[in-house]
Amino acid sequence: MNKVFIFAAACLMSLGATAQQRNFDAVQIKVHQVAPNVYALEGEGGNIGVSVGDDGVLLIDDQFAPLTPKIVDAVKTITDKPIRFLLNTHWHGDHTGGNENLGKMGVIIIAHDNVYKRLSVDQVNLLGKTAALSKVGLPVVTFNDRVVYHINGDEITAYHVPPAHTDGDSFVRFRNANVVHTGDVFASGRYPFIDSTNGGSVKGIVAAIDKLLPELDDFTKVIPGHGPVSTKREVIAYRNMISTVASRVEEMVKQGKTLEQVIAAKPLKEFDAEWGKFRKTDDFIPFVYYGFAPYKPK
Amino acid sequence: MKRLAALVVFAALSFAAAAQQRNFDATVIKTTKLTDSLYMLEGEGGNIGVSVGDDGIMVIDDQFAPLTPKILAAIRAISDKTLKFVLNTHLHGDHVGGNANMAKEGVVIFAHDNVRKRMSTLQFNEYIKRNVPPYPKAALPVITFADTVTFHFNGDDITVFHTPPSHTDGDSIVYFAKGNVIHMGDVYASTRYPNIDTESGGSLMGFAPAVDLALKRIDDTTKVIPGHGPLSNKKELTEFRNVMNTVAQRGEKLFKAGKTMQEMVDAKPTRDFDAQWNRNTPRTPDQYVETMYYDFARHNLK
Repeated sequence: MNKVFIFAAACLMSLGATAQQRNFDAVQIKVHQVAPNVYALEGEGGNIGVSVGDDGVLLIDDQFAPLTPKIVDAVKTITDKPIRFLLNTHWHGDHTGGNENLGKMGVIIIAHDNVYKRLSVDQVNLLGKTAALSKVGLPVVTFNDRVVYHINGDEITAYHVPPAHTDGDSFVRFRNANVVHTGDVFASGRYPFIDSTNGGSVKGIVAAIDKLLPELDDFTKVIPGHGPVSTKREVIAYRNMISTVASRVEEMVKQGKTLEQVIAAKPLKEFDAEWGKFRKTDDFIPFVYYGFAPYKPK
Repeated sequence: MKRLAALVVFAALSFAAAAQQRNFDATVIKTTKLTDSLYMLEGEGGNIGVSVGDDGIMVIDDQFAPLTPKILAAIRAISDKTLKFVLNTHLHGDHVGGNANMAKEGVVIFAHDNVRKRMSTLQFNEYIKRNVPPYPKAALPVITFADTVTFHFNGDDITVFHTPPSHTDGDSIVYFAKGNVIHMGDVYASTRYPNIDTESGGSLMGFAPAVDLALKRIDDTTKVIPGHGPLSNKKELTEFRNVMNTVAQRGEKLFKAGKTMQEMVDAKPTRDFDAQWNRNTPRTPDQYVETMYYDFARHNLK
């Protein structure tokens, strides 16, 4: 349990709960153009997708609250049109931290129904506590299935997938630009966080990606929740890694192994060199383990 | 056919294509307060629902383009907050005619996917028997949905849900959960048989299932805004649903028995409802049955 506690403390660093205490002074927002009017912004927290054009700016996710001024400045280097819309791919604080700031600016926030539900009340998960957002930061419009933005010469579809990273994940597909923002259902080249005690599902990640793959071709630019802009190839590699990890850990849970035993057995050994650079294997295994074993909060 | 021609001339008056030529000078927008934050506006064309409050203003449907100044004046008499959203219950010109004007006010227009699809392309309107050209981009819904969206707005949860094809294939019903008000779009006309726009994918058989989606949400005190006609309630809506269900079942039975259109007309499947439900329409009951026949033929019931 001690190990889990240390792990939890370490992970807290990367989510909204401590965002206010954290110092973002050194963070720079990097702007990557991925299509003629689609950009990805990289800072701290989830990657931001940006649609620009005559109809105004649509942001996909907004990282942490203290970063909003830098994000707004970065958008201004791309376009002088106003930020009109924000879409949250899921509720986690490293993707919704800027909601209150943007809501105050009059930006229309849209997300899946479950994102609204979770952001409306305090949340506790394996990474710690996240306080509810005030009303101005909550999505004003929510959907059960999908919405389409007909803006900037594109059809931008946000569609919900069954529980995966969380229970409120959406993919966002830019039809004409041939770009997809996956939210945290896909993290490129790294072990992900999976909100498995809070509505997420390890196998759901594989199922969601299997639903996405037919929509991707060899030229599709994939903006992951975390990691560099990728292609179908990296998505497939990630899917296969998660699939193998899921069946391996599920089997060990069925054998009655404790979390400590599973970690000690180093079940992901051959993946660790490639996937364990950002989140270590020992920190990742609990997310998978509690996707199959019951979790009792202390 | 002469009868049909007369009908066409009359009906054309009530649609968008003719809206620009039509004189709306005499039209007065009547405002009915339903709750502290919900209003119904009646003018010419489909009834308008309005939500006002701290978050701004949301408008359900916007009648004909020439009426926008009067509609805005009526809204301003209620609230000086920002106009935020327009929701179109379906594609017809007497419900979306003001879209481009409203977009200029800065609103974001929402509707079901099929509303935008049909508004983007030339449509043949069977009721008025004429082509309706595509709308300009400024009039099109900017955000569309497949099934259900909820506006968390003005202290209410405003759920907009798509129904099975009934009046058209892009109908939505808008339910204000806390206000206990429901806007039915043209799935419900409170004093007459509804129009069935089969050319736009509508179907008689969809009305009862569509109304059932509303009935399961509402209670005896719910205020029901019909697409056309006076403010209504659950009891009247239930009666409407039962009439539509009975007529659909009778028609289906006749069609499946291999009756011709004339035989279906002669069987008078709407006879016992006509006195009450064929009011406020230029259409005769026989013409309504003809539409039913086309509807069944289109769906090629076996």
